[in-house]
Amino acid sequence: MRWLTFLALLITAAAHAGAEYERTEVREDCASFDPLRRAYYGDTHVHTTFSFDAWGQGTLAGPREAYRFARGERIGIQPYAEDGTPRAHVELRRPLDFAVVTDHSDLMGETRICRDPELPGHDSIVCRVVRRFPMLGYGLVNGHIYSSKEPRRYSFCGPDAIHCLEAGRGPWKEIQAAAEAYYDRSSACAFTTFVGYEWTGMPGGANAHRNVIFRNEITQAYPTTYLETPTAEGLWKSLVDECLDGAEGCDVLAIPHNSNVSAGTIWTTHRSNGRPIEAPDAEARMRLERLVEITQHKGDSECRAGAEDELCDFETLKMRTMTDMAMPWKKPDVPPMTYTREALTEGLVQSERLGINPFAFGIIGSTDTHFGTPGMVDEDQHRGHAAGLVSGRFGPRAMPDIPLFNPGGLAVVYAEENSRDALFTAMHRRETYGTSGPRIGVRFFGGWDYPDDLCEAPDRVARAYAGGVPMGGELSPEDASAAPRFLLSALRDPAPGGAPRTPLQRLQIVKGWLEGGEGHERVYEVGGSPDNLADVDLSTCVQRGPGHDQLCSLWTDPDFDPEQPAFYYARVVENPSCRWTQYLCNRAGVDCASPSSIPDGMGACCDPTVPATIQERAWTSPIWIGR
Amino acid sequence: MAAERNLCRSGLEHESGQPIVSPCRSFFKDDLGVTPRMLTWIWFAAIFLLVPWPWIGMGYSLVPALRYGMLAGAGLAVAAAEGAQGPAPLIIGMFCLAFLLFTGLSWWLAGAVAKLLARTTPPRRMGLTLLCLVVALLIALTTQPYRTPYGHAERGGLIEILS
Repeated sequence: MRWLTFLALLITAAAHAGAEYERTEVREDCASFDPLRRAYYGDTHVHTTFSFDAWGQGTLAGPREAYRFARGERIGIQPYAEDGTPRAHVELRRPLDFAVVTDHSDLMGETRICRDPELPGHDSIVCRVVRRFPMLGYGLVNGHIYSSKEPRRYSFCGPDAIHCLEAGRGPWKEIQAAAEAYYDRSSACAFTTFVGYEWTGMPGGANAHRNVIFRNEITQAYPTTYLETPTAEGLWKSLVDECLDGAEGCDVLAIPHNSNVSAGTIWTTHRSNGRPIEAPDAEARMRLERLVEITQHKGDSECRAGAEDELCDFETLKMRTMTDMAMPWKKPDVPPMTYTREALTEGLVQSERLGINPFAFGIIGSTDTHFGTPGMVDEDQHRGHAAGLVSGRFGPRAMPDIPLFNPGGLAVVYAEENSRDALFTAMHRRETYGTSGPRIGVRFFGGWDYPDDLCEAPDRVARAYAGGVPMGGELSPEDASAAPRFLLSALRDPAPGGAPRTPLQRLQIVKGWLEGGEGHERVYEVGGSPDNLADVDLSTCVQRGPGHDQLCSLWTDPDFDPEQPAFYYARVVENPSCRWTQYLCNRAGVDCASPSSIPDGMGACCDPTVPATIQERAWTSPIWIGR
Repeated sequence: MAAERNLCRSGLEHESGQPIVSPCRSFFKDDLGVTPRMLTWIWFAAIFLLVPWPWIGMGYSLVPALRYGMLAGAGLAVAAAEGAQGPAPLIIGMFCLAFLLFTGLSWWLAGAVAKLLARTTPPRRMGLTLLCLVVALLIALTTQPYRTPYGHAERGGLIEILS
């Protein structure tokens, strides 16, 4: 049997001799192989009923339902009737290309025990409280486990947590089985799944979460948990020991998210013992943490609001940690190294010191849905995310979410085909970007000798690849003949199926560089019309003013100094459009001039701190020079 | 004034025409045997059990003090059995605070109502008390006046919050 598998691998590997990835699994070749790569849209952050917090808020959709939803099927969600029949149904306007169910590895067993009366521990006080008072149980257990600096299992888990670990094996197997069942191994390559989970460390309430994604069906025997492994270093070590070095054919990525509420802990330059990181620490991080989730339901992590860059004030929570939400009287005190751009800049500083950049990551977005509904990102269809402080278990409320939260974003990956190996390799090389929801098409390349007419060239993508590097790549300063040139092109989201179609407004390139040992940053307007005066009629959400269906720019850095290490990433910004809250307020007929028109629970409609409009956007992975 | 209120009419009169009064054994000695303290307790029990109080914890709730007590008790039971780390002590503390606050307010409100009712005649007092209790109980049982984000339904009646 083994030699048959080996032979099949040989055959498929031979068939893809031209591809820049190795085939590590048995599958048919994709009919749609494109050597110039195409954008695949997906969601790498999805919770289902196996996550304690999702189940605690009434989610019964499992990984199979999540994948069905991602493929475009209609699924039922909460609230459920007594017999388990869903009373609400949801469906994507257009299917995703790939998705990853990333249930919390922590509490996977506990969740099952509390649900299954046959399992030991079912009648423990914790489980009884969780079942009797779901929201209270949610707060107590989440707080006790995830937010503790020294997490420990509940006593009902038994000695060495044997009952909980054993109970967790069932969901873990089902997560893998569902990923296998819904992965299209045929030549149609219609949909790709990955096996994954979320390591849920949140010491002291500071978010340090990582989504772990495996390249193929070869995975850890059991996911690493914050309870047993309470540091990021420990997570990396377990992934190396149990996957990269410990299981043949196993490959894995860890993707941090919500640095915006991490109190600076995700991008720490210190080890857990307090000592500064050294080169091996940076190497360990870079071996696994190739990407970062820049945006999701619980806010945007790109850059600090209030900085010189006005567009940084976008879906920003302005909290130090999530627990600050329970203490609204506290003055926000967001420490340095909270945002992605700060980390990218600090990476250059650390690179000078260590010889390796620990923060050279690419960018994606995702949802963090707890409904089991990957890719449900449209502002006009937002119905909460079934976790956090606004319960989803009772069905959509008048205001189904905390007004400062949002529907989340998407991960976009440039790959030759829609297969696990192709997508994973693309993620590893960081040829990815994130969007705040819309499917904006973005290409971003850097090179030294791009011709002036590259934007107009029909074969510009081929020439851009040939003469430079795509997003996520590195340009060597030794090759510099002049200042680097960047090709940035964007297509607006075609938005079929009734989703709002918003024109593009502008193209920007964000540069960070090192000068005199200190990091600096600057935003360059490189295309479009920043001052196009486009706006939106708030009463109807109809967009007004000019905009662009597509934009392309070839930009040369006017301030380039080959002695200064730098990174460049692109930001593509749409015209203003209605935020999800405004759609709901309009539907409810809210007129802020008439207080009697404001229904119960819709006060946020007239709260000036809740934006009525947004400018959706895409962020590419950076291109580095001399990092 | 308090002493005067605790005097009961005998129904007889002095030669001067003044009614003959004597200290009551109880406030309602001559009707239902309910003392002022008992009346206060009756009202306290009703308010404690039935009157919703608003509280912003993890979501906006509007439930009687008893319910906050149940939530605080559940949290304390978990903490006693397993300890409480992270924000769990804060959550439990908030419910304990809500319970104590609204229990105190219930007692104060019951005393105030009993004091108001003391201005009326004993039969009227009890009549009003019974009427209010029955109406409140009916509302609590037949409608969903409570917002219960910690339970199994967003809104509920008395049965839901006690079951």
